[in-house]
Amino acid sequence: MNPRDWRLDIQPLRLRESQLFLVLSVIIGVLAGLAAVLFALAIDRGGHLFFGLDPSPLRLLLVTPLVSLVAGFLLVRVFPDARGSGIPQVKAAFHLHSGVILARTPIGKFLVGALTIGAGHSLGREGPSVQIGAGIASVVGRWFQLSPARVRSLVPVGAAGALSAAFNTPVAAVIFALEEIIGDLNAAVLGSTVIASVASVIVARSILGNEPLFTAPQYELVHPAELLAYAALGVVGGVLSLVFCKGLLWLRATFKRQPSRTRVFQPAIGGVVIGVLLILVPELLGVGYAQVDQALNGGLLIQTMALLCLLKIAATIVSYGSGNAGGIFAPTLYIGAMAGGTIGTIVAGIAPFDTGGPGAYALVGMGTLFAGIIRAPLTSVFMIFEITQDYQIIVPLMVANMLSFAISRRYQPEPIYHALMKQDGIPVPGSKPRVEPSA
Amino acid sequence: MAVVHRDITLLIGIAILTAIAFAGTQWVAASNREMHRDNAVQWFERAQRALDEGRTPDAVAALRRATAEDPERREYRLELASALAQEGVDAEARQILLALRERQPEDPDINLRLARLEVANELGITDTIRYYQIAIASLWSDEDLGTRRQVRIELIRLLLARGQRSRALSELLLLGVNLPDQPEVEVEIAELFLQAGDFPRALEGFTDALADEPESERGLAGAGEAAFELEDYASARRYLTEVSPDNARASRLRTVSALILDQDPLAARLGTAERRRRLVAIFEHATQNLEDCAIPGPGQAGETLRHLDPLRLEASEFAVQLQSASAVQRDAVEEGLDLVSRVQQAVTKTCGASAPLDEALARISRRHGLDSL
Repeated sequence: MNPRDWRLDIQPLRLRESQLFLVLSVIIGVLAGLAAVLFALAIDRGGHLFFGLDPSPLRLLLVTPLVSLVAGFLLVRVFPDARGSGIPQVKAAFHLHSGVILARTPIGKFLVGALTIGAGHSLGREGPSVQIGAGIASVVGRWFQLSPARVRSLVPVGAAGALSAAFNTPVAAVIFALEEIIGDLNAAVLGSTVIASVASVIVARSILGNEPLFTAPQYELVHPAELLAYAALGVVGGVLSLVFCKGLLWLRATFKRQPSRTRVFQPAIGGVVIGVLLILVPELLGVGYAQVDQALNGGLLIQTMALLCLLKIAATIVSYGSGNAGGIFAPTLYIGAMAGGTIGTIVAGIAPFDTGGPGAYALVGMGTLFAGIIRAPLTSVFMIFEITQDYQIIVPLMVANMLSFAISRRYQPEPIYHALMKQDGIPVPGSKPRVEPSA
Repeated sequence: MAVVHRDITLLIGIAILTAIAFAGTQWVAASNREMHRDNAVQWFERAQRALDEGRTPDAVAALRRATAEDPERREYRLELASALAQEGVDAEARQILLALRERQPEDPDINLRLARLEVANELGITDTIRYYQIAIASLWSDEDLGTRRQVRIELIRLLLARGQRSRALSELLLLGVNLPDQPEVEVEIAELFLQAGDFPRALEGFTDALADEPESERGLAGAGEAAFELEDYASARRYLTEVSPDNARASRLRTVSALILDQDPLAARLGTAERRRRLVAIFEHATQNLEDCAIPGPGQAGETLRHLDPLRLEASEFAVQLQSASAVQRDAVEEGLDLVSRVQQAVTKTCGASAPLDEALARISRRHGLDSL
């Protein structure tokens, strides 16, 4: 056979960029899913390593600041882009840097995030997972020498894939990528984000199983007048969102004003506060999904829920404000569940009609705080549906979400991720950036 | 190789990398699961120790950790539900059991625990019965026979307590199939028949048990009561005489039975003098009750007792008639007993009457087709 003919046969193996983009969406979905799962497992393993089965008070006091000291060094000297939740950085990469995220960023985020969250900081793993997923997408896109526009379009694809696996919420992950990262629900990358999200969640479920993140009973609106109680929860959620956002921004700004030589130690200062809080209330340790599950099942007392709600707000503000690596999704859901459970218990005690019980309010509270703090109301509705696999409580959820969202936007016009970007001196992107057409 | 496009090479490379990453992640996940299982075992052991030492709140906390570490382990969740129920946190205990039941709807243990929780909280009878019945239906192997019997007995007791006698009787009839030949089991079931109002089956059960164990206190008391309810007062007295005097109910039934046998003026094979003696005795008791009842109590208006006056008049006329006759005919005895019956009814309704003879008179009246009390 003539070697030239053989070469001609090989030609079809070359992939046109649009086809390659589609294939890469699947691969990035799988990789982002694997990274998110591995990140969760690393945090889990880290937590066990640091605290053991039943940590002593001394261990609770010392672990967080000591690990934060190491994390602070890494964040200042090795992985400067790994600080915080990661979502503002992903937005900045998408809107301002043509989708370029350096390879060391997802690696750093993985390492420092696992250390920080595993060491008991009141931070979540979902934001970092989004940054890791987006980082993988950006690196893979550049490996394949895609055009800058294509590399940029892969960033929300990776983000959706990672969030889909982190929360086991494929639909909410797609909506989040469009609503929050891109800022346009009609973006052309919709198809690719869906593909990546599905691929990612399949990977996550095949490894971790298909259990919902929380197991809650089927709740529903028991009495029409109960909508007023849910509206009250929306108002409370809006106020708590404001307290959280303003407190976090204030503390972060305060830390940022300090001399740059203190940057290495700032996460450890937050670690000391968290260590003290952990001795007093060990339930604040880590992500806290077990407590959320209890609140959803009506298994916590009103005093406990109220206390945990307030302390979680304080702990998350301290953990995040002091410059540690970790997200605010999970703490937001935690605070919302506790606030909702508290309101639900009060309503059940005073309402002259039957109510859905504290668990139903905890469920709605999760979405309410998410809408108020993250300012992604559509994502919050879908996320609650998918997290709990409960579609019965849509009307109360939407009422409370919208009220919380409106109050939060009225008194804190700038969304938290934009405010965080501003604090870092990053120009805030417009709400509807141009997105290149894709596969 | 140079002819193969770089993209393809990269794709193959990345696919291999992904496969390795997948296998590695699975290995880490399995390792983490193992770690959590070990942790769960340790928490569960702590919980068991806490339960043994009566420290239920500590046990609940440890069991929560155990279930958080190993959510798949049914045993931990069941134990947590039990500990929560002990602590009075019934809503959460119920929630856990319902969640378990969703996965294993026919698990007898889960259904039984749910049923018991519902009973403790006096919740809806329909669900409770369903849980019991599923538990009973699921306990089908030979080794489970004893447990199934006990669970059915629990259900019957619940039905009786909630006034569902006919359903209780249905379950009792099912219970009676393949019973072991053990006197204590026969007595237990006969007692349930007694409570359900099936006195013939109850008496049959008690007599069967007494055939094997003639000295059984419970058997004798039950047989006596069943015979009493069947108006076989001679048998009732015979059984109840054997029962210890400490048994207050048996003693009362024995007394009432004796009174019925000794005071019934219409009993068979009595001479006219004896009939008259009995009639006089019960008539005097009834009229004394009537006179006592007719006296207004403190703060009670006399008008409220006016309805007794016609009976008092009738009784005084009958007293004269009774005094004048040295022997009375059967018709007169029936007339007297009818009057006694009506007097007793009025007295019981107005003032209450609970002496053994009052109960005996009521039963004598019923025995002879007169209005029962």
